[in-house]
Order: sequence, then C-alpha cells, then structure tokens
Amino acid sequence: MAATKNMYEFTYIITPVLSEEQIKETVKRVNKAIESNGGKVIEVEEWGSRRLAYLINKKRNGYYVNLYFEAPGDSIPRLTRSIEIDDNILRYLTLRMDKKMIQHYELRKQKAADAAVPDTTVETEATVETEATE
Amino acid sequence: MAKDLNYVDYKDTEYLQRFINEQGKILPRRVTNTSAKTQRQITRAVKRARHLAMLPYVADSVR
Repeated sequence: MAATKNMYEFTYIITPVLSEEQIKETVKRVNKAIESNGGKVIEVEEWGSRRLAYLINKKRNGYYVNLYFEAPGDSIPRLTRSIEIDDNILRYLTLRMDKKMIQHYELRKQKAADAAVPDTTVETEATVETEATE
Repeated sequence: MAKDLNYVDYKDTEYLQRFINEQGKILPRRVTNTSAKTQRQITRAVKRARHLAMLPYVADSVR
C-alpha cells in the first residue's frame, strides 16, 4: 500500500531554559525525526522567543518554531510520539494542510518574496513575474 | 479587509484579537457580524492559537 504524501504544518514550542546551542540541536533533532519517518522538510521558520499567553510547565516564555513538511500520513503518529517524549518541547500542533491552507501558504510566501524583491536587479524581478502568471 | 480564500490563520494573532473580548472569550456572531462560515474558521483558529499559548484561554482582568 503506497501511502500518499500530505503537506503538514507543524508548530512547536521549545523550553526557554535551553542555551542557543541546545535550541539549535532540538530543531535539528525534530527535522531529523521527520526525515527518518519518510518525510521531507520544506521550510523551517523560527519565530524565536515569545511570551506565552499563560504558563506552561511554569514557563513564561517559549521558543517558537514553525515548519512545513511533506510526509505520508502513517508517519505522523510515530513523529508525534517522539515529540511527546521530548521534554524540551512544551507544546506542538500538527495540521494536515488542505487545499485552502496550501493556497494560503503559497500566497503568504509570495507576499514575503515580493516584499524582499525591490532591492534586487531587474532580472530577478522578471523571473518573479513569470512565476506569478503561471 | 481582504482575507484570502476564507482561511483564517491561527498564526495571525493580531487579526484574531479582534474576535475575542478582554476576558479572552470568542465574541458571538451577532457582535462580530461575520458569516457562519467565517465564524467557524475564526473559532477554530482561536482555539489553535490558544493551544499554542499565542492567545489566552482566560485573561483575568475583571473581578
């Protein structure tokens, strides 16, 4: 049975007690866990340290990481299990992206790209335009 | 406000803030004037944001 791959959005919060190095390691470990379960990480966006709206395990702050990946559906329970065991992760949220979410994600990415473009040369702008018309 | 494709993003806390009161409760449809479809999306987004401590479950202000 060939399991079809889905797009997933995954957000998690790392404990603030870790050093920068340890945070980096944790991020790497999560990415590795995804890859080893047959997934492919598409984008990792670290939001950095933020204040939590309420205490979690007596912590006021948390280091947020938001990432997107592609994986077969049956790998998710294994992945969440390894996340659950990890004491450095306070919270996580896995979402399977439906069509609307993917469109929303692509739009957001495009907007970010458009905002970044102005400084660069004409050549790159032209490529952006062709992508948009496709 | 152009919110693309009726997907309400839980990451956009600033936007979601408009749909909760100072206690952190989700405002009813009669106050927010949104369509049923959008209200459901908002509710889901707020609940997701709460889970990730981006929004409070309860904001204690009044007593």
